[in-house]
Amino acid sequence: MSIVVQEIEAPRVAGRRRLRLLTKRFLRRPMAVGGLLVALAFVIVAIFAPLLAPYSPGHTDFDAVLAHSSSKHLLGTDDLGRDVLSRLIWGTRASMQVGVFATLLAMVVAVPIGMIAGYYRGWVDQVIARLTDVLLAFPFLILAVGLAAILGPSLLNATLALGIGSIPGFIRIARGETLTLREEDYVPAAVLNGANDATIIFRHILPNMTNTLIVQATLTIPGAILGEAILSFLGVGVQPPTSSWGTMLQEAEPYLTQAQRLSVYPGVAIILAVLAFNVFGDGLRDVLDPRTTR
Amino acid sequence: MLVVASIVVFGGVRAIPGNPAIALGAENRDPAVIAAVKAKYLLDKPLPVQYGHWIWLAVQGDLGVDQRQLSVGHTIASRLPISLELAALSMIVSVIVGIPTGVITAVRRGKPSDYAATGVALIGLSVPHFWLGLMAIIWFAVDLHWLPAGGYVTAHHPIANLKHLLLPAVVLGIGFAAVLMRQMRSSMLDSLGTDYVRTARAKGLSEWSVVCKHAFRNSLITVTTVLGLQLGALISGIVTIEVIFGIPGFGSLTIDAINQRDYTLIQGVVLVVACGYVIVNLLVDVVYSLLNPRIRTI
Amino acid sequence: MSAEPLLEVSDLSVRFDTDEGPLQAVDRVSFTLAPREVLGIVGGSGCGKSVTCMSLVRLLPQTAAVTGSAVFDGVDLLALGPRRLRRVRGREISYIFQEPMTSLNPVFTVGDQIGEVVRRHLGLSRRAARQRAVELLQLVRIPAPERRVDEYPHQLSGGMRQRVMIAMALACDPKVLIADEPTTALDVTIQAGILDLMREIRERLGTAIVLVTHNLGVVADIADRVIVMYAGRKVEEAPAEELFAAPQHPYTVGLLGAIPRPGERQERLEEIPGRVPAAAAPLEHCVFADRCRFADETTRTQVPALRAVRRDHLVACFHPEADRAA
Repeated sequence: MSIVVQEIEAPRVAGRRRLRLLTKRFLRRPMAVGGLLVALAFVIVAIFAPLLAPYSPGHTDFDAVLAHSSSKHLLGTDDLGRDVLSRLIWGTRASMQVGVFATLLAMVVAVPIGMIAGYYRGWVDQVIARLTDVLLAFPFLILAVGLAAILGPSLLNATLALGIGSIPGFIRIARGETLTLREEDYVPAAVLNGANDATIIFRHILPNMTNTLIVQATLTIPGAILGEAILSFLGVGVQPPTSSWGTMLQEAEPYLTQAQRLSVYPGVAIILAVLAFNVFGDGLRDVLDPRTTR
Repeated sequence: MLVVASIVVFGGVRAIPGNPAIALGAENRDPAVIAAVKAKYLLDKPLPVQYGHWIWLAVQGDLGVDQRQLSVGHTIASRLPISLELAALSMIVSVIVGIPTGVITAVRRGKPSDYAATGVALIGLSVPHFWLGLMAIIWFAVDLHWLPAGGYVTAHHPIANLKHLLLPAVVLGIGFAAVLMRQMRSSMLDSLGTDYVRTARAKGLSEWSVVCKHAFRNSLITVTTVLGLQLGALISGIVTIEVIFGIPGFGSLTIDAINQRDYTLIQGVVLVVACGYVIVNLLVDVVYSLLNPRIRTI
Repeated sequence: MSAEPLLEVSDLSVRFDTDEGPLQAVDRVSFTLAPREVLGIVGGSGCGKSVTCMSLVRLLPQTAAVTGSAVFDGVDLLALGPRRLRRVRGREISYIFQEPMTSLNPVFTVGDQIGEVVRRHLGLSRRAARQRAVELLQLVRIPAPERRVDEYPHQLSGGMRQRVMIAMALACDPKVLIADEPTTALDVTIQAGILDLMREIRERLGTAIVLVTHNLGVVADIADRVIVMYAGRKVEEAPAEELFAAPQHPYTVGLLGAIPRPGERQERLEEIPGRVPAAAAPLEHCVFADRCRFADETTRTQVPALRAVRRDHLVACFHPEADRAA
């Protein structure tokens, strides 16, 4: 192979140029772009749910109970005569809320812990790493169900439970990244310039692991969306009459034989949303994190 | 490890609001009964003493009694095998489906079959298994009448038993097959790019030995570790699947216990999960060292 | 070389299809290898020497497009079907890689990995294969072969592993042994041992060896004939002694200037200024033009053809030393 004496790459190549390069690389992956578009669509639907939904999610139409799709009710109605499309749209809001906020919560709690472990190492790190390993294999569902039992079932508590459940994964990532990044040359350079630990952690290490964190976040959101559906379905998450994809499935279960479509629509919504985020996250990882590219 | 888990369990359960003595005495509000319960579980003593007492009894196999005054140990012992059977069956399904597809897609990387299979796996990851369970019930039980929609028959009637567990096991197994396949594919791709695989090719070995001997053995090492980490997801999956299919296993017991705030039962259940966790990790370590000579000789 | 060549490579080109576009790694390289001959291929990193060798037994990734021909024993290796190719690999032509630390499979014993070759090609039983493995370990001078044969690679040092690789390569008495930087990853003291072993192999078994290296000292030590490569092209070829006595290409001259000579105090080893060009397609000028002291208009617009300055001494240069001396 001919070539290429490569320049040692500086940790951050000039911002705008790099962004353009990454965008170009990302656009070359049609799957990932599709994932992003669909995910964005879900977010927009969630934000503008009140404007988009033809009916209020609680509005009951007793003339049309378990109705098939019609011009009046595009996806039909459920056992109480509520418009399925409207409930799906409002359900998007609940699911996205849980997905995004649970992920943010996990990130805010986990990243500092992981960075402290990775930066200071020693026994602190040992303890944190062991605990993370234990928690990583702990069934989040039992944790979430337990939390719901303690705090009572609600959208907020489901978010809390799922957020807590996602913490170990983030700790592990943040710790691993910090362990590598603190070995980089610019850390001792910063120390020589009189930077203290906090400056190094937040000014030098954190910005360099944002890529990895963004990827992990994109891949945590779908997990939380799935989790919300499971919790609500089991009756320990979002409570009826609030509409979420999980509660819709729970309410549809008794009508499995008469009105299968009531179970199909929310399921398809979940799959689409989760798939979109997963595909987008995978693509993003390929673009941002060349180490894992293949 | 187990000690930490049991303390967390104990503390967590005690954090649930409500008076455990009243809960344990069930509907019986008779102060004498409550006092007796309190005495038995030392509920008037400080928490560490209570904890010590609980552990002491648990080690002897006595997990206490639940709200209906039934032995927690017995309840768990009767429900656990059902879930273990379900877990074993679904693991078999996922290994049979996941490992070969992972290997094949890695070898055929970039070909249409690879894209198709990885696409299906991605969908498999995105489908909630409880929903897949619902759809499976609609299809195979309601529409086609091939298999029962749920319930459980003991292993005394092996065929009926399998018939009842087949659908749930496949539904659960498919989800894990997707995880397994993706993991297998990526570690096979890693292995296939290594120097020792190049050496194996240079030796003139057949593609079969290169892939299935040299690359596969090394990929299994990473896959085993990842499999251990999937235990939590497996338990979560079993819980939901048991609820959907109305299987009276350990998973539905867990949900019931939590919903009824049955303290002793919850404690017992979580303790069993913790033990299971330790055992599985031990197994993973054993398999790992069998596969990896670098660990074996140290 | 007058003898009938064992291997005849003509117009071998390799182009890689990378994310950043095509990359011409080897550009129309031709050479021959006679029986029992040791041919050295030298050049800096990235000059295409390893790629050239790997393309002969088709070990390059699928992104590589290889053209030209490599006739071995009457058949073109580059056109061989996979089944027949596998019968050549490891049996007729063996390969030793640069990285002994990673080239052995960590999960199988040394004996397994050596035995595998003879079981595959010679149909030996498991037992006989183990016996052969012990013999081979003895041949490559590994002490206590009876014990070592059941050990795993991680239990051996780097030098030992390279000996194991050599044992594996010799298992079926191949006609050609390609050694791709066999000593680069090793300590200097261990390097000498490995080179002694290779020389001994040639003496005792009569194996022809292609020795790829960036280390001219190694070549001077054991090669009969040397090819110098630069940026994917063969720039010079000569019998070893001749090359060292009268190098013709300015690049070769530069390379020789970069060898430390014992007993000769030098302030600083000479280095060649500039960089190796990376090209998407074959360059339409001399590849060394940018770094050459003698570069002129011709050099920058035309490709120098190989020409014989003396018998058996080829050079691709418009201004070889011989001309300038004249």
